Amino acid sequence: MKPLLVALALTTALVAPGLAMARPVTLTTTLSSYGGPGAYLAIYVTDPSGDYAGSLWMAGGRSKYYRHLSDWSRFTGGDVAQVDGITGASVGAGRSLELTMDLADALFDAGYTLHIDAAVEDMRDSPNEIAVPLTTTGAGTPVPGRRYIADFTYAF
Amino acid sequence: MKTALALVLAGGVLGFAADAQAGTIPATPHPQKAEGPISGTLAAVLIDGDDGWVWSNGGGSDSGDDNGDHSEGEDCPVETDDDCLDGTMGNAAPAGSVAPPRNGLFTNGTAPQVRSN
Repeated sequence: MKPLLVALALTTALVAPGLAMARPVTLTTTLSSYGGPGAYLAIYVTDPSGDYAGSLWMAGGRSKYYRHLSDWSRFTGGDVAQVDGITGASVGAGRSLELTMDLADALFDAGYTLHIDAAVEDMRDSPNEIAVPLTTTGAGTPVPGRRYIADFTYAF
Repeated sequence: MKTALALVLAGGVLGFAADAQAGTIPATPHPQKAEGPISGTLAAVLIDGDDGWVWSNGGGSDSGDDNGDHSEGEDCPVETDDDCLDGTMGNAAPAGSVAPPRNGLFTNGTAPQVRSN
């Protein structure tokens, strides 16, 4: 019986830290009915110093338009590799984009900020339309956008 | 004939003045002399705004090799933009085709699950 308990304690001790390092997070971006074609969205994170930490998602497949996501483009130099494997379709007006991903726990309550740049063909670009600190208390609270994004929410 | 000509001229002047006001440019006492510069100024106001740039494919200089009647909306429909997500021509690799970047944000290396409605 004792060896079983020891084994259980050991496996719990090994697995628990791993679970604590990540949490599934759902990012929901709802676009307003701005009356234009699908929006390109760059979702990325900056660290406590305001430096680029990495990208979470790129909505829009044609890299030649990424320069209109001007803050993201400035941070990354337009490096497409930053969004390899995390790129999907642009998002239509009035529609919602829901992303679920395992994010590092270290991003929360540590001064990191999630940003969304938005751009729509033949319409004004909207860099940094969303800038929301990643905190546990801020989860579930909708953040309004300025131009194309009606609101954005992240939830655990 | 003279009446018709006068009406056309009056309509043109009125229309020009309305355009000038819509562009938030003060009406000048001699609008006919300012016609060229005002057009250029209006373009600058519309394109070089205080909070960003306009993504234009309508033949302007902003879109580089995309000038003309190319429309991203037509080539990359929101519902089925597989053609735009083929990872070719310098485009990013679509989600699911390769692992997400190792940027320290994704803890397990799996791509985000996406749903659009």
